[in-house]
Amino acid sequence: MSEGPKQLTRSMEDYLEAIYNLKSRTDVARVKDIAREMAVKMPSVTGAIHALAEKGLVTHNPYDAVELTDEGFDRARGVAQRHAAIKGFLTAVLGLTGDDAEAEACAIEHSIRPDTLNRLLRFVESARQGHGHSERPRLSQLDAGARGRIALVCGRGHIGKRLLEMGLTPGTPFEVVRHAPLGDPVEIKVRGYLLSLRKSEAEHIEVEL
Amino acid sequence: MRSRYARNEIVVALAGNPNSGKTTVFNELTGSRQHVGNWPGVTVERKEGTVSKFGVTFRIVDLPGIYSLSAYSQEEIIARDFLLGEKVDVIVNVVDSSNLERNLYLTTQLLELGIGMVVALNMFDMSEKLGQALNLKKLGNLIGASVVPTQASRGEGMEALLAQALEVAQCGTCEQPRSARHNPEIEIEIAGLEKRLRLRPDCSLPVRWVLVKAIEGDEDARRRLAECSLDGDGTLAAVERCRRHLEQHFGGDVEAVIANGRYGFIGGLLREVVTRTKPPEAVTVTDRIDRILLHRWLGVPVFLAMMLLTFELTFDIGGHLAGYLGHGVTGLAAWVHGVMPPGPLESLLTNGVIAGVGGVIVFLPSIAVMFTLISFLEDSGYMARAAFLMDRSMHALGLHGKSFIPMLMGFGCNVPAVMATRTLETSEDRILTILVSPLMSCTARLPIYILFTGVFFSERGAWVIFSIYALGVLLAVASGKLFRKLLFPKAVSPFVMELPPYRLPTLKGTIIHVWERTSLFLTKAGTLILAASVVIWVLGSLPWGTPFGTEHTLVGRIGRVLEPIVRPLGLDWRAGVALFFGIGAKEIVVSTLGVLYGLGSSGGAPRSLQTALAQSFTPFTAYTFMVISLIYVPCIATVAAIKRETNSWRWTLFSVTYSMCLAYAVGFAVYRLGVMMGLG
Repeated sequence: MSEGPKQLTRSMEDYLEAIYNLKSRTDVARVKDIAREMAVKMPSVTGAIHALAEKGLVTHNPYDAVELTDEGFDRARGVAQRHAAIKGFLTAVLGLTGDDAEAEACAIEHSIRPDTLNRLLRFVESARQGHGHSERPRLSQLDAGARGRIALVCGRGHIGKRLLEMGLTPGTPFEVVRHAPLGDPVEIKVRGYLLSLRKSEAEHIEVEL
Repeated sequence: MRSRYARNEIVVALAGNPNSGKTTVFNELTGSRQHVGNWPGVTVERKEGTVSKFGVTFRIVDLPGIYSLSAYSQEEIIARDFLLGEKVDVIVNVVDSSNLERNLYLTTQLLELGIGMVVALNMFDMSEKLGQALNLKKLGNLIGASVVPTQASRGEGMEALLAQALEVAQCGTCEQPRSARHNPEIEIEIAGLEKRLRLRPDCSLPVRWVLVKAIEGDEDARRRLAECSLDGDGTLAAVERCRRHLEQHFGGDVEAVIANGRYGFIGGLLREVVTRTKPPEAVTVTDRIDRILLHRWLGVPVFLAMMLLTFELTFDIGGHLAGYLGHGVTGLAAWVHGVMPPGPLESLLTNGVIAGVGGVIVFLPSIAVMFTLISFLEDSGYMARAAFLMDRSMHALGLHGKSFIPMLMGFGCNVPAVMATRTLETSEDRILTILVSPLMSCTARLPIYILFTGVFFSERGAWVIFSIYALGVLLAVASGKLFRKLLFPKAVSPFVMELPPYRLPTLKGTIIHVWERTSLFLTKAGTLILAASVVIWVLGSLPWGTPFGTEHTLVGRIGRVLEPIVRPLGLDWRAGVALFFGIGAKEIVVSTLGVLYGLGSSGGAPRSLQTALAQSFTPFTAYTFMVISLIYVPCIATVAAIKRETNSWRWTLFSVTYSMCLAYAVGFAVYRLGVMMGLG
């Protein structure tokens, strides 16, 4: 780890990550919660929190919840990010099971260099997209009467956003009602109402039948 | 709290999805006490009305119908600007009870604004018919807002709505709107941002709302947030870090996760408050109607038949009524002519004012009839179907499915055509349609064609007239494509359109709608038409004593001056003057030609206009004249309508200039072609 001004030990990073995860789940991170999360004794936690507080990453009053400072928040998030990215690589690309990937990710996340991490992220992203494109049919390809679920709205920006807001979020069931007499636009039933969209827009929507 | 309402006025913002019955609620609440105008600087309509009840005055502002509070369409921007910027005491969120899931999506966003809210569950009957029993109290508790069942089409629930609005406004702290919880990962980011945010003391932004929007990547929300924080750049950088982190975490769009979260919240809400009393109908009435109206083979013919009927009724009934009105105006002019001593004043009244007023009111019947029909088509839900049927062909022309109706109306009269563009949702589509629809040849131009074809193309008259109409359509298509490319390059307006359930329009709604349109035309366009008529009269009368509109008047002299301009088109000054008067109304072209070529000036043996034209025009200059009549500025009334509908002098001027230039260019091309072929 060489990107930050303050060097953090592996165990300190683990503590930061644990606090971050606790706060994202329950909004509060007390010493005893942290101890349970990391399966260590309470005094160890107190010691680590003191060390982190000295570096200005957390604030903590006795018998009170631990709070991340702005800097601590960013560092913790960085760790969590690396964790998620590595776990993604292990499951999506190498096909590890969730638990194995979790354990491996915990080990790798402390030693990986930022540049390597970025390359890994890019690789995972392209691998995911490659999958999506080849496998799933598009809404625009379906005939009247077809039913399925929305898998992904690809279009970013205006159209993609609008489609999401109209309720075409991943997992939503839909039915193709009909095509207009000239073949375009297409009409679908979704979330209990009728929506029409051009094929050029339906092209952006990946579905599962 | 009470001091805030010292004026005894409560500002109520009416928000809701399109087709939620929001306008019906507005009409029921305010009745005829409404004021219709535009939101500053845009074509979107702003409606406001007041109602006095329980000793206070409610100022009700009808926001544009929107699906979300994002900043992608002009309607959404207007709605959020109003909600964030003005002192809104209560939001009344009109929700369609038969489609709770999608309607509540906007509700989840409105809740984040932290403004007291009353939810009007409109068309409440429908939820029972659909087999849903709703626990309103529970719903109200879960979202922290009062819930009132309404049936606006019958005026039910309106008083309760106002009573709740008053209670919420006067007791801002009693019930706080509760916003949806997002995905935990997003919640922690929001909390983190909230903690580091250092806001200006005078900042009144709803923090949670603006943070969610900023994380979604909403530029406008980010700008607001930056302006409101002490360290704008730092805040924005923090927001951007959050967004990047979340994107990596979810492996994709944050928007999708947030939208999903909102719909998840709504799903949970509905599970809590809705009890099914019977299974939902597999085939609804709307489905049955659509099976015919959107049928693969029947759909388009039925649509065209309906359009033909609309067109016929508009210009047949409208035309007849206009005829009676016209007689009245002529009668009035004759009466004034009889009782007043001849002179400038009498001439001003008869040729200027009365002719001008006549020019305005002859449009009224057609406009009233057309808006009755369009209002019916729109409120019943068919207008969306018409757009669905026609979009493919219209889209090929760079236009929207809904552009079809205004353009069709153009064949009758350009004034209602321009006004009918109201049905288009985005202002780009609206302006584009307004710019091209005057190229549809209206009935007022027909007399010109008939006169000239009668003289020059007797055998092939019908074909010649047809070719003029076809040329108009072709130019409209070409212009549409050109404008789309040059003026609105980015705006590929999406066609993501709801097909609302069919509903029977209410008489009250239709009457209010028609009255609004016609009175707006009278006040806004009417004054402009009248003024222009007087100007044209002045030009045609000065100097005093010369016969109206002849060679020696100002217009005649202008015609002489302008002759070099019309000469390259093979036309003489008389034709130029006729075209000039045609700007007042195209019907005047023929009558002006009558004055200029007719007897009056020469004083010799009477010769018919036809003979005179045969001597002054060749078939090709005649055709050129017809082409120019088709293309150049439709008429003052249309220009006034364009000004009123675009709400911009810039677009109005552009439209006028464009049609002038196009007329000249095409006229020149046609004439030169004729000369080259030796026909000139």
